[in-house]
Parts: sequence; structure tokens; C-alpha cells
Amino acid sequence: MKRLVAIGAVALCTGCTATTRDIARASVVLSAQALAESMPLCRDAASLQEAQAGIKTARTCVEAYHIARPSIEAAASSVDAWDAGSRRNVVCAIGRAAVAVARALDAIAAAGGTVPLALRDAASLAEKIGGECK
Amino acid sequence: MMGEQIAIELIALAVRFGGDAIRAMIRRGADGDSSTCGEQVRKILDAHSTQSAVMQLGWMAGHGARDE
Repeated sequence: MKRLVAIGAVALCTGCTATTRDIARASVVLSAQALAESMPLCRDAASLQEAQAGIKTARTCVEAYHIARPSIEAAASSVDAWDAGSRRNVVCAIGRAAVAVARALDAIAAAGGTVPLALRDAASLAEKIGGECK
Repeated sequence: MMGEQIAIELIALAVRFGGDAIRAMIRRGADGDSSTCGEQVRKILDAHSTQSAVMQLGWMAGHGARDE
């Protein structure tokens, strides 16, 4: 309930702020959702291509998955064990995942598939968060 | 991260995204569910539709590797 209240506070009032951990958790879950939803789109796009092009798309997507998943899981672990270094760990891990997911989305588009705008926005926002990794 | 602007964009996107996981997360939060972030993430990523797609993509990618 605390999380919901914090999220609602940010959404409704610019003078209010959610805690950093709440926002980190939301960004991690959103990144996981973006990765999860991109894989069936990758599969569908690759399936419609001729053999070699489909293989290339499949490889790009599988590689993206194997980079993004451990990064998202690492970010989630940092949220669960929240301490002084967690914020940096989360933004850097989300950044790595975002780059990988963006690669998968580009592969879908290049294969002629449609990338839902919300999915593209999710990757873009995650990249923006990852840009804070220093 | 995690300036106010990014927070607002994040929440707006989460609302727009409409994914079951986001809705479930909000419901769980409202219900006081204490599942960890790691558990939530694994549940999303281990969904059948995702794992099935990853397996098929892996098969397609492996098929290409055998042809080389």
C-alpha cells in the first residue's frame, strides 16, 4: 500500500516525491515487462522472414535476452537488498538491460514487425535511467 | 535517476503500459503483498509466452549455427 500511495503521489502531484527505492522497483518491473513482451514479438517477426534473415533476427533477440535478463535480475536483487550502493547498481543494470532490449526492438522493426509505442517508450525511459550510471 | 521528471514519466508509462504484471504489481501493493522485487521479476520473465518465445528463438538461432 505504501508503494501504491507513493506512486500515486508522484503521478498526481509535482510537489510530492516517491522514494528512490519505490521508483527503482517500478523501473525494474517495467524493464522486465518490456523484455518479456518483446520476445514473442521477436519470435513472430523472425518467423515471417526468409531463413537467413530470420536466423539473424533470432540471434539478435536471444543475445539481447541473455544480456537483459541477468541485468534485470541483478537490479531486482539490489532493490531487495536496498543499501547505499543500490541506487547506482540499479541504474547501471537497468541501463545494460535497456540497451539490449532496444537492440531486440530494432531487430523486430528491421524484420518488418510492429513495435508497440509503449514498448519503445519503456526502452527509451530505461535508457534514460541508465544514462545516470556514472 | 530518479529525478522528479523521470519519476513522472515512469509512472505515466507504467499506467499506459497496461501490462498484466504492472496491474498485478499495483494490486499486490494495495493488498500489502510482500513478495520481493526479484520474485516479481522472475514471475514476469518466466511467463510461458516469454519462455516459449525464447526457446523458439534459440532453436532458430541454433539452426543457423549448424548450417555454418
